[in-house]
Amino acid sequence: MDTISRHQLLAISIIYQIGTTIIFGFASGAGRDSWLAVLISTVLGTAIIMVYVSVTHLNPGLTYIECYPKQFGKWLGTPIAWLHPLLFLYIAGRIVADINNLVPSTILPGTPSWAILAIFIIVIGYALFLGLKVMGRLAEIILPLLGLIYVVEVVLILSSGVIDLDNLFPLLDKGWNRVWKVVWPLGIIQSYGESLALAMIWTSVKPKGRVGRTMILSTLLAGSFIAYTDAMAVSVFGEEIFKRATYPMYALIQAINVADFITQLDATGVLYFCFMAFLKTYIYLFAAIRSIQKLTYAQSNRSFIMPVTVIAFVLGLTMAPNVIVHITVVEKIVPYSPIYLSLMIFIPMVLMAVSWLRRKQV
Amino acid sequence: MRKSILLLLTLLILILQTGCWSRIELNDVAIVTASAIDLAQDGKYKLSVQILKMKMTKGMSEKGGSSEKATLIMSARGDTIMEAFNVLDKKIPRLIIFSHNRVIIVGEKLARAGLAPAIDFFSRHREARGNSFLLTTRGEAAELLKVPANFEIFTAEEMREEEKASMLDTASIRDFIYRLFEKGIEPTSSQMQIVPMSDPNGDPTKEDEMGLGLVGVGIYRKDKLLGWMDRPEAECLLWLRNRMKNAILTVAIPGKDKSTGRVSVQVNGAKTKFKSKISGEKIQFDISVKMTGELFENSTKLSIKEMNNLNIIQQALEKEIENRVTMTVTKLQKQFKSDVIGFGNILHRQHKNDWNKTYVSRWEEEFPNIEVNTKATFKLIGTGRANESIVDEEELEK
Amino acid sequence: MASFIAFWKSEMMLKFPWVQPVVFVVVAIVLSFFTWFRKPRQERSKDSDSEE
Repeated sequence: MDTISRHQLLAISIIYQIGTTIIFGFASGAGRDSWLAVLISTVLGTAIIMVYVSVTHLNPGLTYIECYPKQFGKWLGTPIAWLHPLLFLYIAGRIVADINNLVPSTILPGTPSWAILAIFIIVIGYALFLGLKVMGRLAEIILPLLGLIYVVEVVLILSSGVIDLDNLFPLLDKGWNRVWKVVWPLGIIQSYGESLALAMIWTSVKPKGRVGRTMILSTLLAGSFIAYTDAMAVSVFGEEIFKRATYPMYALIQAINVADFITQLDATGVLYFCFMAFLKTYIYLFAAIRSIQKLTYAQSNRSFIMPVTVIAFVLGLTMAPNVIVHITVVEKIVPYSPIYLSLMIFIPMVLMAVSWLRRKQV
Repeated sequence: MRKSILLLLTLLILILQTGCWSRIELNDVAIVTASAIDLAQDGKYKLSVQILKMKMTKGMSEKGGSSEKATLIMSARGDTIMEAFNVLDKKIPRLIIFSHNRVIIVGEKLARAGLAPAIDFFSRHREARGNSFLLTTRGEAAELLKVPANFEIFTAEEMREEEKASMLDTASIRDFIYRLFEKGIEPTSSQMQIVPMSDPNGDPTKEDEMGLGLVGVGIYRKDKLLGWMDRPEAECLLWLRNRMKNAILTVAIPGKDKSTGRVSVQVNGAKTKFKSKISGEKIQFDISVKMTGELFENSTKLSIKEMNNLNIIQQALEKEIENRVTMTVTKLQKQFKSDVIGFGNILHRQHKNDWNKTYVSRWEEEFPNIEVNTKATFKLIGTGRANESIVDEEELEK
Repeated sequence: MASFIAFWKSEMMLKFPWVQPVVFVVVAIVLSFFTWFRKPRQERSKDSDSEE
């Protein structure tokens, strides 16, 4: 059986939710109050995730997207359900494009994009082939390792003497405006609305139950982690540089300089990011495949792995000519796109309400 | 059997994943250790770099023995920094990388004209690191690169070590850019000159008696150099920014018989706190400096075993600190009109609303008018290994 | 018109942001036909659907 334990779900979720925000400086539009924006997003994000969880609870045994045809009827529910794998594919392509932009511009300048992405995608394809169980184990093993690396990083940054806590003040300098602008909708969508894809693996969690608690725990942990990293970056660079840097977290690692001896640890940050991106892409593709499998009543998901990975590869390769355009899309278009907003926030709420009402009727 | 094949396959794949595609071999690169940027006559940038010479002899690389110079100085001109690098790249058979660039020296002409365009490159390129130190010098920056190193293998390392010793206010690229952006503080950079090793006041004589010394601090408004502050004032800046490592304070204490002796103290730690007050149109800052130190030289006739005398010395030291701080701040206010200490930032933090409403746009005009009061406290924690002065002393100086 | 096909590209997303939702909905409805009309034949396999 392709199942994962609750603990493995926790590991997967934490890594997934920290995800790609680590490199891009989550909520950097809020300047020095970004950590505050992150914390607020975390709280709101938990609420959103509870919506997803309750949907699966109210429809026991079904994966998340199967609830749509069930509750909304087959003529309305099925197209809505089909929107999900398309969305997942698109987001997976975006993450691959992230890699496409980050790796060549930092550590492997001469290597052609297709080579980097091809290796990435092939490994993901293989992982998909092996099944969710394998990813669960992988996340479980790697999480402590990632945590350790992070702690070492923090210690090194503290020892480099580059932190100046004064940079975090004055608080709320430009008022709450900036903070709200970042929280809604981008902050909520970024890591928490995207947890929608995680909803597809909840039915694989054995022993059953307590998924909600696990998800809340992982959300809070991931959120604190991101907030802390943001705060650290601001205290090292000051608000202006943080807002302007393309990859603030990467710059944070570059700032490590202990006794002029331990320096140039840049590659660690990129590796970190690559792994996060790997897991996130895997989950998205897995969610897409499972959704397609459920919606086409296919026996196994093997036949979908190939086309899905190829699509992700092509998307990632062609999506963005450069990182600036890429980030602009994320900041300007995506949050207001009706697809993201409705699929991640509004429609699930409606679904939850409908499921609950139906339940009461019975 | 299958397992060993799988293992072999895994190892093979691992090896392929090491990113060898973009590999750069050590003997294909020229490592830049220091860069110097000047403004040439025709408005172009003149970029000079100090490159570490590494020859491949018998399969091992050496950094050049003591008999020959370890570094090579090259320069080129270009409309932008990158262009100049490009020209340099073409002059030698190796690829230039500057991830180990330790210092960036900027010539005076360029500094006065505005550093920001030159520095932009260093804030973008992936090899440029934010913790390289930024130095300025009177005259041409390229000259500094030519001085032979006395203690280290190459001068870039020497410059860096001097900067790290932090006797005067230092600035890394990241610091400089940070202060460029912040509205409440202006950038500074250290000033390094060629100084003769033997006679600090005389003219430079023989070549191998030259070295590099930090002689002052450059004061900027935005990215344009305004002028220099010399050693005592620069030390003061360091105290005020709470970045002091160690300093020596000397104070003259007049004796009863009209003789003057001097006392020198090594300062161990300094803590400065700022408090700002806004009353109507007037802004007032209260600076409190707390220092502790040990007395290591006493050439007065005071017997430092006596508590009274210690108090006299402490008070004299405190007066000296207050004087210096006031002098430095006044000079910044009146002569340079540039807030390099960060009074603006402090006002921002302590009075956020007032700053945002009124002062953020006019800080440059407001700064010269603020009132600054200094209060210093000095705690003498020891007098070294000896109690009494070996200078002929009198009893109980009051 | 041909460039509309590649709607996921950043340039397209910035210039015509409405393309993505429209294409998604259209493709979703098209793919829904799969679900609607495959169901009767696959009734048996649906019941024994395993979590592979």
